[in-house]
Amino acid sequence: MKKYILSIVLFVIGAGIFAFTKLTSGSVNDLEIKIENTPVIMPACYKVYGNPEAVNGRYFLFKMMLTNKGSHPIKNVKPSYEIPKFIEETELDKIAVINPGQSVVIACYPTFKDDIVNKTTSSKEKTKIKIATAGGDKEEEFVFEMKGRNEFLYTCVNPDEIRSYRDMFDNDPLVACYVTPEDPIIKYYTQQIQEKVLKGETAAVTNDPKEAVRFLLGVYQATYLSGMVYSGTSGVPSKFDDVQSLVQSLRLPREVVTGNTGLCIELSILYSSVLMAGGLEPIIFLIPGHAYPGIKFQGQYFAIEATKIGGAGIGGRGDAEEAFKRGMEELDEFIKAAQMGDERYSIINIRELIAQQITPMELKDDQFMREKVEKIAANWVNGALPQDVNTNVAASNTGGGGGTTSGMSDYNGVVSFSYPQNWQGMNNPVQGLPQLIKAFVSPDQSGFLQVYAVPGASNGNEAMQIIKQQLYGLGQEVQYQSSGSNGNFQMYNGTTYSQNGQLPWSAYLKRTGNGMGGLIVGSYTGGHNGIFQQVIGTLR
Amino acid sequence: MKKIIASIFVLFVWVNINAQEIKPLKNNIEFTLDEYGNGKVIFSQKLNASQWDNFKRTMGSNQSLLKRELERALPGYFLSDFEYKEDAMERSYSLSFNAYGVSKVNSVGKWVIDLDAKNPDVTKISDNAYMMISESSNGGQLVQTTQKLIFPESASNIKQEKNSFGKAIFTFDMSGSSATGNAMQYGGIGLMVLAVFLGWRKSKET
Repeated sequence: MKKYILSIVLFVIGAGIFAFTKLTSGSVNDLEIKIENTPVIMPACYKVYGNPEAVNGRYFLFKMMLTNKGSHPIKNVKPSYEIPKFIEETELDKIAVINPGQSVVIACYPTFKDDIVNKTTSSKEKTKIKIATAGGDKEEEFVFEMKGRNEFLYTCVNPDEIRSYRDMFDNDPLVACYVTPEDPIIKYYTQQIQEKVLKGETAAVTNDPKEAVRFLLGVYQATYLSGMVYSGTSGVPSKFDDVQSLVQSLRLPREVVTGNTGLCIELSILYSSVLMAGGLEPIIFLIPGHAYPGIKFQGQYFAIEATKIGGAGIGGRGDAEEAFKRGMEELDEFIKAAQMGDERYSIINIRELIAQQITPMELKDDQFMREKVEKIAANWVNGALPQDVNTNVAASNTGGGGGTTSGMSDYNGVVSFSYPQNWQGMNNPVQGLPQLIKAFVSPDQSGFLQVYAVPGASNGNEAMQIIKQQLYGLGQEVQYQSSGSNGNFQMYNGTTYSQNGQLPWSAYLKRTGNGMGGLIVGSYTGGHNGIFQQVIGTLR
Repeated sequence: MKKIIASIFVLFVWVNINAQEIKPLKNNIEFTLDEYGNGKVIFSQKLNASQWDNFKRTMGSNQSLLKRELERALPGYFLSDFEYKEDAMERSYSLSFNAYGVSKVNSVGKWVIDLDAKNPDVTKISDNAYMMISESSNGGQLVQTTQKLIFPESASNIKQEKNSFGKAIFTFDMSGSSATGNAMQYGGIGLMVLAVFLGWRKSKET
């Protein structure tokens, strides 16, 4: 017996320690659990739900706060969740200990499988949450609505919290999930347009806006030649838990192509998919009750009225040039309304949203659809877009109003002047520099006329300081000095240093109703002096 | 923690973005941890006349929007006890709220708070307080943000370290923390196993 004394002592000490730790461990019943869950999941956006970085993590399945209300620490806490039929039991985190009074917050971003996009109808689904601890387990569950892949909720903001028009369309950025440039069917459709309608194109590899506009018109021409028609889909107000929203059924771009019909937003999504597959920067313009597609090219927007395809049953249809002309007219109205601060006029920049990790769904190739695209594209052979199609609507659209005399056009705004007709105009060309309201660029892209409006500035120095600071934020360094005044205008000479090189310029600023405004002229090559003198001579 | 600061920063810079101002806009964010690992955040700003006017036209006239926007900007947190105070004569205001569970206990019983930034410029201002000053430009508005991180009195052995991803974290000890319990439990089991093994060895010796 004596020889076992060490073993007995060690065993008793070990058992004592084990019993002590067990007796001083909290139970799972001491955990207070608070859960906030989403009432709806849209399968088309499954990659957003699974990504905590997407849209700042706004689209979680649930978040949960565990608070230890007991007097002992709760150890080895392992929360997990399961969505039967969709996601097997998955551990969320491992928490070594939750001390008395301590709270731990866990957010769940579920990783759905790619085949979730095959779901075409709504259903009620259940999320089961399990919290396993050293002191026992606990289970919770909630029910949510899993929509069909085509169903899109415009907002998830609680009706009590809705304050403005934008809140009613809070989910608009998720429209980017329906833009599918990587869909094999859309890629094939784009190739067919490039080959049969455009007969080759260089939009993504040249700096020529005309070529980009030709691509835009080519997409319209393809829908036109296919006999595609405008048609509606269901949109019904629905209520889910605390959320009330219009639920719109959105056909995917491949469905619009093969079905040969689409609603304005669906056509805009199709255009965005094709334009993106073609290497351009697609834009969707949203206005009250309508949407139309376009592109942003070298800082300038171009738009087309995709629904001009109309249909024999709804009053006929217009050709590509008419659609472009109408689109640019709408764009003018859009810019005016947006500049007036009307928040109902907004844009969806697909590339920017993808950069925020709002990524499109995965779609597989489909032989039937591919054959359908081939059949549709067979009708395009004799309807290729003419090489000299009128893409000049943009140029006439960019003026500041006024007439035209001997190679010069008039700009009338915060200041008035004449500028060469062949210089291309752009409205608000630089995001992040709202004071730059208009710019004209020479055909060789080296000369600039820039119109600034600087509200709140009381003199030229303040206006220059504000512009300098704005440009600094955009990575550009500005040096300047006053060069006196001429009539109402205060004059400055300076140079802007950026990765594009040095841009020497001259500024002419005067007081306006609510601040300062004026014209800055400059050239990277030091050229265009004759033109600048001509322009300054007309400045008033 | 950085996410909280960044979200507040974006939110309030956005509020004031329309007011052009050559001097930097100064923000103060005080982040006080309690002994449970929760954070009390106090954000304060002093504005000039045009900024104040703009603020009152937007968020300042409907302060519940501040709460809503913060909750939407910080979806991964549970926030509570929002309090808004303003001194209109001085054109200043402060917003405070609690954020739960921002600091956690790791597997070796150390409290950890994640700054979610690489090489932040941190200055120690007392045994339990640290400060970070950052300057940035947002839409042309120069913004200076002073962030103060205050640890509880009971915190000790506060160290600035890096996590596996090279991002800055603070680790510290706090009385009442007891992740050591796991080690004790496994130690107890180990001793019992050892005792059985030794007993078995002794029985074989005869």
